[in-house]
Amino acid sequence: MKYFILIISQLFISGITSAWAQADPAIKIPYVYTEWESFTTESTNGALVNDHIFFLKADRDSLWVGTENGLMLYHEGNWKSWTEKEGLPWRVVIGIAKDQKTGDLWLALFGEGIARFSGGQFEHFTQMNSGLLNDVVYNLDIEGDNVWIATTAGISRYNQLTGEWETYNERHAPMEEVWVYNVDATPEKVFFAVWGSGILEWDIKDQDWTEYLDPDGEMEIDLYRDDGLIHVITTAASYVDKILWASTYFGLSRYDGRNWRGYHDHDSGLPSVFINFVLGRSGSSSYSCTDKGLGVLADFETDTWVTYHRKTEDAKYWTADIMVGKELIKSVETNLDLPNHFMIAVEFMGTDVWIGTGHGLARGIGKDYYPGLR
Amino acid sequence: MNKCRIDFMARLPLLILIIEISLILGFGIVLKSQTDIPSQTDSIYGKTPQEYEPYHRFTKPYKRFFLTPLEYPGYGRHIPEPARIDSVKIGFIGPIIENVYEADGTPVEIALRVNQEITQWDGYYTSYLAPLGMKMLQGSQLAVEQANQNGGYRGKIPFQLVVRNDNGNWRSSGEEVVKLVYKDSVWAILGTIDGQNSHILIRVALKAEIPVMNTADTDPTFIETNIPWVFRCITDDRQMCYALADFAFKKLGLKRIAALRAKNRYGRMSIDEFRDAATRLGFPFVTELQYEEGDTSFSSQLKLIKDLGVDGIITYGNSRESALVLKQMRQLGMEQWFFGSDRMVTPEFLQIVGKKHGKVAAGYTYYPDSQDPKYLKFQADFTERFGEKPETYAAHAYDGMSMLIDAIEKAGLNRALIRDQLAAMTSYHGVTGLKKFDPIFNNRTPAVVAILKNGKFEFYTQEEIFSGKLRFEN
Repeated sequence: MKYFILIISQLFISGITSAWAQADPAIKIPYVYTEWESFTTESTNGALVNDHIFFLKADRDSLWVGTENGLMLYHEGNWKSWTEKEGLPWRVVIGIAKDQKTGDLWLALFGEGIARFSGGQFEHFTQMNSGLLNDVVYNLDIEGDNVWIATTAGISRYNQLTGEWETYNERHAPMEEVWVYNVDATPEKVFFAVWGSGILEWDIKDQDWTEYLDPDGEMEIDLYRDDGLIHVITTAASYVDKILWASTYFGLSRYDGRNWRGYHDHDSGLPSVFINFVLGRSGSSSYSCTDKGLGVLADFETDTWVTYHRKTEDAKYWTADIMVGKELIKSVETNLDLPNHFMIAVEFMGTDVWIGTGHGLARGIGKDYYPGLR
Repeated sequence: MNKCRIDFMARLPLLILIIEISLILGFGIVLKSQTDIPSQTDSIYGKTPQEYEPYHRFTKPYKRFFLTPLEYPGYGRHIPEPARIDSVKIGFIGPIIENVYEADGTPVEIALRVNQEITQWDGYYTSYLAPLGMKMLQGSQLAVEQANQNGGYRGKIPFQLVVRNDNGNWRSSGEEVVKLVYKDSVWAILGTIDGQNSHILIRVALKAEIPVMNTADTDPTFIETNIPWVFRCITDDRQMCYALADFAFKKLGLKRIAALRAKNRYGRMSIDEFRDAATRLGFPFVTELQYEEGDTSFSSQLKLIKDLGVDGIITYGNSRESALVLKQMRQLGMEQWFFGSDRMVTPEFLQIVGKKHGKVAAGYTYYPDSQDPKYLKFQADFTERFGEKPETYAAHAYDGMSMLIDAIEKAGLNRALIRDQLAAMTSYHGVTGLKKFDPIFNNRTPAVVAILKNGKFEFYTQEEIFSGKLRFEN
């Protein structure tokens, strides 16, 4: 009898989720990355110089990788690295931006300012030799001729043509706190995630600021789900298709210019509200790097998610859970074998997706990728 | 015993089936990602009395935060211990004067604006918090020295305090923490005092994944950031404001209170819970005025407040300014209650205000007249070592550093495991008393109220104040 129940239970767990999806032909599912390539220092025999991945930046068919101990470039299976031995001014590369006009690479160096990587040479900017506001830099991005820099003491803007530096802190911008964490520059607007001061928007045409705060004004609650930004402890902003995605350590927010939508871990497919970084893929889809895996909102309209995570500490492979809201529709095994799902960075390269974790990075192969649902 | 086991085995398949169904139905899967994490949860954040809860009269919030223990599910626990080290380094960052080149020997003359006049400021050195930072350093030093007298790390390797300055300007604490983490290779960090630099510090710690113990920043929002690497062993301004609000409104029955506070982050953030409590009780501030840090004349603000007919004034600022506000208030014939923060419970405050202080009360972080043998021994040891008595910054730093040392002893040389050990300390009996920590690793020991009597602060618990045995003039 007990063996009968055991068999039934195993059949039950393996079959019921897919049965649910198959039972209703009207249910459409999002694309799921099942095929992955993983990279760690160990698996690359040291070619990847450090496993603690802070930032990923696609550059056509190459990938720049910022790590806790150097800058990496991946191209068609080959790695190239720059550490302090190769002239990198500081070991911790926490942000990367590519100037498409000049081809220069700009690096945010955690605790040592920024650097311009041009013609194989590093040019180092610090608060002692330039107008940079503070050497603790979290990220940077390019808008026109400007380099916008998120520092722990406010925002710096460097004009590459004129060489002028501008400073924006509590005296020059509507920020109660000045601890800037992330910047996303687009041709129309530049967005900043300001830890403790929500999201700041710089309108390039109007040369003016707009601030977005948590309307309830309290740290310990979210009063209403969709009343505005979930929390002022923001970590990243991503603006795509005129939609703002804002990550916090308390959940995810989406803003279409009129309406807000909030996502917590109890009401969505987010594996956790602790979101280190978010990257919008479209106005309908975003990828949230949480401390417990990757939360992909695949289709905003239907609230359909794909959550990539390790189900247990000793699981060999990650599982992709397809969810509508908080309801699990189907679990799909992947071949992703990174040992930890503390997500820090994500980047798109064509139809592929790259993820960076506290121990290694991986590339999801987007063969036959499709947006939305099918 | 055997029968129990047989019964259990027989029912095992059924149990598995039930568990699996539960998982599929959305009860969730518990990831074992941390070691020895306490399972304590809170139903109310911050021991907030219901009448002080935000929006409690109108609705229940969609989501409450900070009620379950913070987790760190990252990779750090797998990092192996170093093979050979000469010392176990612990970082210290605080506003101290020795490392600041402007202050190598003599007080710096700093001109400050005082109501449109430029006058000479004679009170502080480069960082106005340096006198507090030095006490914090002394408390930390004593804890490390005593640990080394007992044999050091696991009886083999000495602990080493790596000291870096937080000069308060330039928001430089972030760079100093980067150096502590990546150049000095410390295992944990203690610091700092002011809210601005403390916040900067913990944001670096979060990225670098290193435990931080705070022993001096009482800003309630310091801990309200969901960072699983941050611990605080000092009672914060949330608790002190609740204690003061209870005293002012419930015990004394006051209704019209004005605020006159420092125009800085400390003044803005730390008074917040008192302001909210007053509003939620139906007694919003009559007015809230500010002064610049370093001001010496407050007569214009006080005259305005006097005309408003208040029955109490609250200030949040440094000891010196708080004392001058009180002194000038009394000189204007304003005999109302004067409330303030723990920063005015100092010899400097008492010296400036003299004996004509009138009715004065402040929130305070611990009971400094304790007869706990542990506290008495610490007082004796500290006095012998430094030739002066310890105060709150020294005592809390001693406790915080002792907690770090205890955690390192238990965890070994791994930052994530040290974090786990600190997270597992749901209570700690230190020299400043028995501390109880909430799910976000904040000391939730109730504040006490310091009341000035005959030129000396006396300390009362909430229970004592509301016992009916004490009478206060309102």
